[in-house]
Amino acid sequence: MLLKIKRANMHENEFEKQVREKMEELNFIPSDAVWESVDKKINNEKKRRRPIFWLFLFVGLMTAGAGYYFISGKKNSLLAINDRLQRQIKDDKKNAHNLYQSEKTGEYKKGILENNQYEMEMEKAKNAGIGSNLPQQIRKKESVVDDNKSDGMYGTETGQQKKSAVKAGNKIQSTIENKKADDNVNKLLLNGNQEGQDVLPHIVKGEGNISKKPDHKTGNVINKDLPVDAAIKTDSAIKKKQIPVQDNIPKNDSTDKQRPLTKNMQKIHSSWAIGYTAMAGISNMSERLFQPGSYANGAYYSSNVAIPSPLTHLPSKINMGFSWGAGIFMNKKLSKKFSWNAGLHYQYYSTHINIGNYVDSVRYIYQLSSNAGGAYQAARVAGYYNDSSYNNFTNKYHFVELPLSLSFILNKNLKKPLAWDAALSFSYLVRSNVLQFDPISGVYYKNDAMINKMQANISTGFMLGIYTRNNELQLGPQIQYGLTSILKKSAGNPQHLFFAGLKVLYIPHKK
Amino acid sequence: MDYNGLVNDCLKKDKAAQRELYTHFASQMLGICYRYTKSMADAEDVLQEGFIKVFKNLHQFKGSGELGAWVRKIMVNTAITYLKSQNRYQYDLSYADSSLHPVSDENPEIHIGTKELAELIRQLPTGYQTIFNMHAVEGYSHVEIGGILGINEGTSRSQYARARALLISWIEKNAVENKTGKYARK
Repeated sequence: MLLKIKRANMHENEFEKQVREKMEELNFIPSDAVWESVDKKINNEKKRRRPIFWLFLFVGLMTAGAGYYFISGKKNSLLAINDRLQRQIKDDKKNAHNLYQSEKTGEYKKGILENNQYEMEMEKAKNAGIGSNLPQQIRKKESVVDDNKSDGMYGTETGQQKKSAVKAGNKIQSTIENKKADDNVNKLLLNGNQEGQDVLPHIVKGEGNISKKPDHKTGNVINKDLPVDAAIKTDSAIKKKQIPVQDNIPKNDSTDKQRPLTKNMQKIHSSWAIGYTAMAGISNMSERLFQPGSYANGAYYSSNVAIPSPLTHLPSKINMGFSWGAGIFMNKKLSKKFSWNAGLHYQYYSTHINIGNYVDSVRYIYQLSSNAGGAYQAARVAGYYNDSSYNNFTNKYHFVELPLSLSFILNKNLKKPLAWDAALSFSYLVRSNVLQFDPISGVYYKNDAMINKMQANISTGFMLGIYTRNNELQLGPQIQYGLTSILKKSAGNPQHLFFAGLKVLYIPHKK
Repeated sequence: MDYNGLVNDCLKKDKAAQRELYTHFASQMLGICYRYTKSMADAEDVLQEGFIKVFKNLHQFKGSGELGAWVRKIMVNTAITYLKSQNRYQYDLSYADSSLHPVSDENPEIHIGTKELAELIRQLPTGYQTIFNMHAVEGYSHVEIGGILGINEGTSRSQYARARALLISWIEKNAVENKTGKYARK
């Protein structure tokens, strides 16, 4: 019995030995593609930097730079004008004060000398081109100086002393009144600017002394040669220009401290503002909203059409990929609660599939064709990927989008407003490497003609606002769904791009 | 060949050394991959993945052993993993004794060529093919096969016996056809 078993084992070993010897001789020369793939993977070949990325980055930076230049340039020119105006107003006040002092002490000559000096300075400023930018009433200061001169002349004659005394009395009175008016203007400017009120109506109504007793002799900014309305308008122009340079005006610190931050922030941009946006998250394919695409109904496989039998190959499963985007937008506040954005955005989406090696040779594949009434039709491709699962392939989509979004603030916390936003965007597929699957021959191939390049998307999310000094930062979760299918109707089942991630908005405001 | 020097150069990311190591083993390893798969494309996929693993794990190679055996082991493991991951191999990989083939203890002389024999092995159902390759060619014991494939030792043993019997019948049939053809040609 033992002998029989031993003989059987010996026989078995003889057969296996023959098989082993023959199989040791089995050799094949692999194709060059194998080594290329191995070499690429083991040496971590650096990916070529795609020019399109740099193009978008360049365009984005140029746009941002132009926006910044535009805003800051405008701001600087306003600041320069206001600076000059403030200096002039200060000088006016100083002169008025000197005049008042000189009249009080009888030092007319000193006042005349000072005014002559002022006239010379104004002349110099005029020659330097500063005066051309000043409102008319400030330039009219020269006439005030002339009057002061004449006052000084009369003041030396005995017969005119009474007149002079009366005039001086009027002057002193009006100087005091106008000094008060000046103070009132400054106070109102501060308060009005802080609270968003127009200061001029108060002045016209008589709360200030300007419209009541306009006296050009005291250096007041109101010109009696102009109608009151015109003067107010001109004055309003000054005050409007004064708004961004409040630091140049002597401030009432207590008032400034009392100014609520939120109100200030709320007022920060009632007009158009440029902002920047960035998004990062995951993207995937979905058959319908919140229904991820599976391999059985993936973008590479159609289940709603008759597939020639036998079906020998199944496509890879689709896995989610990384997605990011960046853009620039214009922001407009419509009301306290509503605002809207419109801009230009670049968005990258990706999905992952597992495929085989690339074969660089011509072959026929079968694809759905609208010409053939939605049936499979043979087509020739120059290269294809085998149906295996050892290579991770990333389907990449590069889109340029035009988003329009509406934002609604949900809470009353103005320091940290929580907004809900909804957006509609139209996008164009600039570039893609997406592969299609042929379930008959079991290969993956590229055919951009099957893709809808124009897409419409809807997105929604919540944004939490954070204010930092004069800047506004908003961040929150976002989801986006492609209303249009990424595949053309004739190419297979509708498939929609889906994004979920974090969105950040940054709106730098004018200081 | 100085394998230790070659391995050291490969570890230094010397591309020429990597290419040399690949060229030295690629054709032989492709033969192994071919035996485990059903198409040359699949075999090349396995070869590629196998070599990626070889280079990524080369630091684990002990200089005392045979480099060829180490590379071979990686290829076999890669092939098995590949078969498990492929949808189209799933059905064939079930090791249930649903279709029984008669067991034979015959030990015929193999009068067919290497490639013909390889083609016959590849025509076996994937489960039979895998176990036959592992036991008859690679020399794994049934205990080891059971551990690797996640099946009982007994299942491996019976599957192997049936695979062997099926293959022998095909070899004999092939030999008869060759003989008939030969006489017919005469």
